[in-house]
Amino acid sequence: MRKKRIFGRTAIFIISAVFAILFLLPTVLTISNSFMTQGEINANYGVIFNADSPSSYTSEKATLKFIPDKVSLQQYITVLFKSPDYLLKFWNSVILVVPIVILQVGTAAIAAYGFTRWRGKLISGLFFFYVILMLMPYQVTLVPNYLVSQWLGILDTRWSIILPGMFAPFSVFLLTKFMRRIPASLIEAAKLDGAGEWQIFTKICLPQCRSALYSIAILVFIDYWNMVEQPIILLPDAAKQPLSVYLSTINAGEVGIAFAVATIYLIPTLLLFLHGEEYLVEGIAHQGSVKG
Amino acid sequence: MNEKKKNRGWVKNVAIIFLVVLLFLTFFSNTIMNRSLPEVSVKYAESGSITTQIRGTGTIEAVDTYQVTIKESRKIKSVAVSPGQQVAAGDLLFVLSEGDSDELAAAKEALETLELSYQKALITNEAEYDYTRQERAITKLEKQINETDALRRDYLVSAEVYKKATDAVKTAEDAVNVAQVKYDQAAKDLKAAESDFEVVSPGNTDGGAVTAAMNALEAARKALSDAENTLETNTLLYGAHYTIVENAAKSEIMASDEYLTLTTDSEREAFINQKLGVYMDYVVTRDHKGTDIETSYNTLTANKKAVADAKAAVNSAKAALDNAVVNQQAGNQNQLNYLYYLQNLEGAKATEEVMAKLLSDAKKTLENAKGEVSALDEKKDSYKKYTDTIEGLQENLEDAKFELEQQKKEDEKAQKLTALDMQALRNDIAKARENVEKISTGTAGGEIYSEVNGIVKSVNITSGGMTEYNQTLAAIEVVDRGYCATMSVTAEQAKKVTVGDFANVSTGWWGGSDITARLTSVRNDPANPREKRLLVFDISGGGVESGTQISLSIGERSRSYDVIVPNSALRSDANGDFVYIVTAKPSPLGNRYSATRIDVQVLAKDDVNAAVSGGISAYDYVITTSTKPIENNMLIRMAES
Repeated sequence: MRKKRIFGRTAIFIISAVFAILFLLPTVLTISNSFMTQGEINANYGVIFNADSPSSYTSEKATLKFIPDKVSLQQYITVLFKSPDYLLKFWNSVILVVPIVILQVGTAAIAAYGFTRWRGKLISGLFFFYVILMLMPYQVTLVPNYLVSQWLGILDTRWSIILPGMFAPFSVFLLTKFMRRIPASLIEAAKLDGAGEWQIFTKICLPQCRSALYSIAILVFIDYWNMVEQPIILLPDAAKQPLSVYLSTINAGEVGIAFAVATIYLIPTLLLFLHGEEYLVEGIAHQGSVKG
Repeated sequence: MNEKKKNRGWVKNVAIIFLVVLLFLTFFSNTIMNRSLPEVSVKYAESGSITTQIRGTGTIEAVDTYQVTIKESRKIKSVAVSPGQQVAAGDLLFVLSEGDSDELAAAKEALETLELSYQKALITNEAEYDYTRQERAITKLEKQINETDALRRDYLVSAEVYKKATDAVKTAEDAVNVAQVKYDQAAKDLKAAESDFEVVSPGNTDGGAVTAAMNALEAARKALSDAENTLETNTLLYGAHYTIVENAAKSEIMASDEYLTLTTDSEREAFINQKLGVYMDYVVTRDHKGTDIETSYNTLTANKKAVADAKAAVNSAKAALDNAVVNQQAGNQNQLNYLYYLQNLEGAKATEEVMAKLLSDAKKTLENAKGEVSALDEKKDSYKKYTDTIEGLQENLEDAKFELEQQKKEDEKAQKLTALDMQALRNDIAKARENVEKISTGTAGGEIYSEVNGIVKSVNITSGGMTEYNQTLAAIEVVDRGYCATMSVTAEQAKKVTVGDFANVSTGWWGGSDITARLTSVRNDPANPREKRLLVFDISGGGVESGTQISLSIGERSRSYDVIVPNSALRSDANGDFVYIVTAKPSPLGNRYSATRIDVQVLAKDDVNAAVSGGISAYDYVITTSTKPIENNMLIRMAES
């Protein structure tokens, strides 16, 4: 019986390891290739970007190469010292994503508090509507967003991205579920002590939901850090577009730079994850165990 | 919830540092980038006209320069001209000191030496050519050949005679072979006859036994005849009795049970004949005992027995007779055989003797024939020996004749060579004499005069100086032939000018001159005949002086072009000429400029600008200078000025 259990665990470990390696491969490839020279990258992937006129030294098929022939910081030097465009795009991303995260977490917390504190058919119906919205893919709401942005006159401004990003049913749903597990007696006790709604919200609920707020913030950050469709549709001005869009339109001569930029672009997300890893795990775990 | 949290403060610090660094880099990024980019100067490509002019420099030279030379070593007494002086033909140039020159003395000595050599050669070459010894040797050899040939004729054997002898040998050999075969056959037959004769015997020819047998046979026949006669008598006598008994016996037989079982007549008759004797004896002893019938029957029976015995005796005598006859016949055959083989043996002996004699005769004939052929062979050998001797002598004769001929040829050749040498000596003497005369008369009494009209360009010797053989004493530019200048240009440039075109001439930085230059010919430049040409100008006008450096410009063809760029913007590599134009690319920080290579073809060019065609249009910015080497699509920075 014990042998059977050990065998089972070993098999699960091997399968998990294989999947982990598969999922990690693109990231590892990006990081390792960012240390290659432009010539080596052209030789390996030139055929993809120069399909019409491949260079004589370009291999006929794209070659996935993990170890550089000669480790070079040429791409990083180009990105950091010779290409202000990439750095500006990075800050464009920051300018777009940071307000979205703050505003979305704030509005979601207030909305969730409302759903938690007041119950009734109307509230239940509204919450159900939120769930329906949450299930809809973003692309469905893209056209209405465009029309509304145009109507509001904020098309081709950063607000056309930030404003729709403020209101996200998924965050509201998660926070509502989390807040509903706060014991009612705690809130009642606060009320007896003379606390108002704002005080209850800020002093009782938010501290209790810190892990959930952190996990939502991380998820929202990752989501909007990697956005591509919204800026393309709502922000035609290339000067205002985030780096994620710029990366997707990289051309043949800048493949090596793209690897370096992608690696740099990865750092904020990684740091955020490392910083809030425990909150993220805790928050998701609690949300998973919450009973509505 | 209460688990101890990991310290993640470092992550915050890293994030802050990361963002600060990026902020810093962003702030200074333009500055850093602009520092690293090459700064370029640009100029508009414009439309306009280009005047094609070929420029170059040349040195004025006289078309013809007369060199004053001397052929002997003499001391210069005085120099009558100086550089730059104008002289006319016949003007005095140099005065020489008195006395023979070294060259004249040497020439005279050479003449004397040659004459002496000629005299010696005349004596040396008076040789006589005598061939008597060789001719005598030839005559002697011819005599020996004739004598040997006379001896050889005695041993001549004609082919016909030799063939007859050899045919006779062959015939005799055939006869011997035939005789041998016949003799062998006869010997073989004799041996066979002897063998056959040994096995036969003469045989027995005695006839007594036959006679005795015949007598015995006769007696037996007589006894039989008697017995038969007796039987016949008794049969006739007692025939009736016998018939009675016989009938009774037949009746008995026919009454027997055995007879009754028989079905056919033949079986019955055979049965009766078989049983008749027994039954007759039985009937006699049973029914006629003691009677006459019994007596007759017994007598008859006895007679029959006597006849049967007589018959047996006769047969026995016949057999004895036959045996005696057979024995007699066998004896006769042996006798015959004996005689036959005896005769054969004697015949074979006679044949063998005849054949042996024939064989012996044939062998003798063969020996005689062979002896004849052998004698002929000996004669032939002798004949051949003489022939070889004659051939050897003839070979010696040929060699002697050939040697004589060769000797004569060599002597003839030597005579010719001697004649040539003598002629050469005579020629040398004539030349030496001429040389002496030439040197004696060349200086015309010790003065050198000008032979042309011109200007003395240089004087290479001073008074008191010694001249050397063939030394140039002075150079005189022949004014009448004019002046010229050459300029090296490319083959492409040379196509743009035509003979007869005039070139602008300037002699220095301060301005023009009265000198005119007219293109007289276009030649290959010896320094680079494939790519370069030499333009040769005829120089005329005032102030023309050889050695003057002049600047020439030729070709005046002005033409309008759509795109003209500065020469400094033109670049070239293995793929041809090209220019870099400035391409603007919008970016968040404003326009970025990059250099884009445009391949062009140069249509015309002057000192400053070049007309080009290709993917460039008027009002494109072309890069003229840059602070660093630039490449296609490289980002650049425009010079602020």
